Amino acid sequence: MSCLEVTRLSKTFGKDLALEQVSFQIDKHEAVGLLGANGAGKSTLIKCILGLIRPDSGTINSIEPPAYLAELAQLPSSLSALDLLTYKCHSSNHPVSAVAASLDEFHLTDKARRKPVRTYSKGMRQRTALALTLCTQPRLILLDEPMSGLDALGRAETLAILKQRNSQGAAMLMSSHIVSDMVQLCDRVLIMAHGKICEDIVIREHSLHEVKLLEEKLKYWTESTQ
Amino acid sequence: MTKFYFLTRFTLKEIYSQRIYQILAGMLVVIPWLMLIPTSLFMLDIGKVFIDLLFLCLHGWALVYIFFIACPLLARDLEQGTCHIFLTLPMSRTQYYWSRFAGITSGFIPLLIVFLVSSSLAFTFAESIWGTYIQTGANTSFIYGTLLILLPYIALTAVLFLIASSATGLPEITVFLFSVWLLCWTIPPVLGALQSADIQSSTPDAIVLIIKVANQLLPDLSGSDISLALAHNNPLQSFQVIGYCTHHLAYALLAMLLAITMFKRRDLS
Repeated sequence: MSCLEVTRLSKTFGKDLALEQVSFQIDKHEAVGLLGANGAGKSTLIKCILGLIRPDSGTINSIEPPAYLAELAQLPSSLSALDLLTYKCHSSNHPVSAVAASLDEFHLTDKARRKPVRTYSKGMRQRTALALTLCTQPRLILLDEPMSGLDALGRAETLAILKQRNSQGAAMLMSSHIVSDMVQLCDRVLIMAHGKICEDIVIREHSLHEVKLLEEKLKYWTESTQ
Repeated sequence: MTKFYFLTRFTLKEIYSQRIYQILAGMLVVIPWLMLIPTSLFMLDIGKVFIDLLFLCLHGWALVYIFFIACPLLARDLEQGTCHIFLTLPMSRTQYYWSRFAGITSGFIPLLIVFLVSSSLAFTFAESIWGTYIQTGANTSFIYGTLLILLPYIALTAVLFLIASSATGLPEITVFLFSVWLLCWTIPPVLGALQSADIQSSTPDAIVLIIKVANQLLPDLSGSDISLALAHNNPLQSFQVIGYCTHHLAYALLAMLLAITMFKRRDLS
């Protein structure tokens, strides 16, 4: 069963072609990675799916509006993590009881969660943004550089949480520059270059060999389509 | 409707938790009392002078609120992508814009209450010192005037949303809004000067037309001399007041509708 289906999506910014006839689908339980160099069109694709950018042509179908974690998520700095998550649950008609559990899951202590976001470290902000994205138990999650600003331990914890959500049935589309994270989490990786999906690679094993293979493919497609 | 309510409440919470808002509220407690000092330098019409000075403060804090609290809030939403949090709830862009507008305009209310209470107390104190020098009913005139003067600032807030609907960041929003504010204050005196036959004959027709059109398009911040009429205890006709309120509320509504139309068409990258 398809959670997200994108068909022939195209977008231009002036004369620049950002997306060209992009088509793919994500099934339930599936975690798909978007790999590409800077300017390949990964963020544009995610924002088109979210409706933040209007595509010129193409269709997007999803089972429910996706949850979204932005790259370097900018949270309202004067409010606390508790305020943000409470707001999200209220607005999404989700039980507010999920807030505490979600903050615990991301190791935001009782003291920290009541402080304004401006006092948080970069890692804490990213963890808050992740908690905000995941607190309503979404079935489709779009992640734009979710590991940004996290240290090695934070990355490992985040990956574990995302894997757990994936195993519980959430479908994911994650863009990242860190190939090793992608290999650990994703079932498939879409390599993007110059607004096109060049290759759809199934990850068979979580190994260093797979990481090297993906890096080589990325290099090949980025250089060959220039 | 639930999303509208929660985002409006969230916006208010965001505004209240800002230090600049708390400082502004604190200053509004003190400023009316400080205005008694320059008032005491005048010999006649002390009540009118006091009201004029309080109205000046009112224009000042309303402007501080719009430029230093509302502008950065909206600019951050667009510039840093904070609006993505709300829009991906999901929430329509129309709901998002109306909720933010409702939240920001509601932010005026606590400041207004603080200002009115402090000013009324200062008035009572002034009456106890200067007694007969302050005309009767001056305090009531001041309260009416305050409410009426604040209406154009709601229209200016709508203009802020109109500018933000196609702007990319804080500098752009601030510069354009400041220009609008400046034009709002400078065009009426120019139009006044154009009443003179000499000046009108020496001004090209095209310029006169541009000034008149700009005057119609911009919000009327001068308060249509309503503040002056109140300060000087001149009677106000009810149709004048109704017309004035309708004009500013309709202006705000139209500006918001245009802003939403533009905002719905833009890419939020």
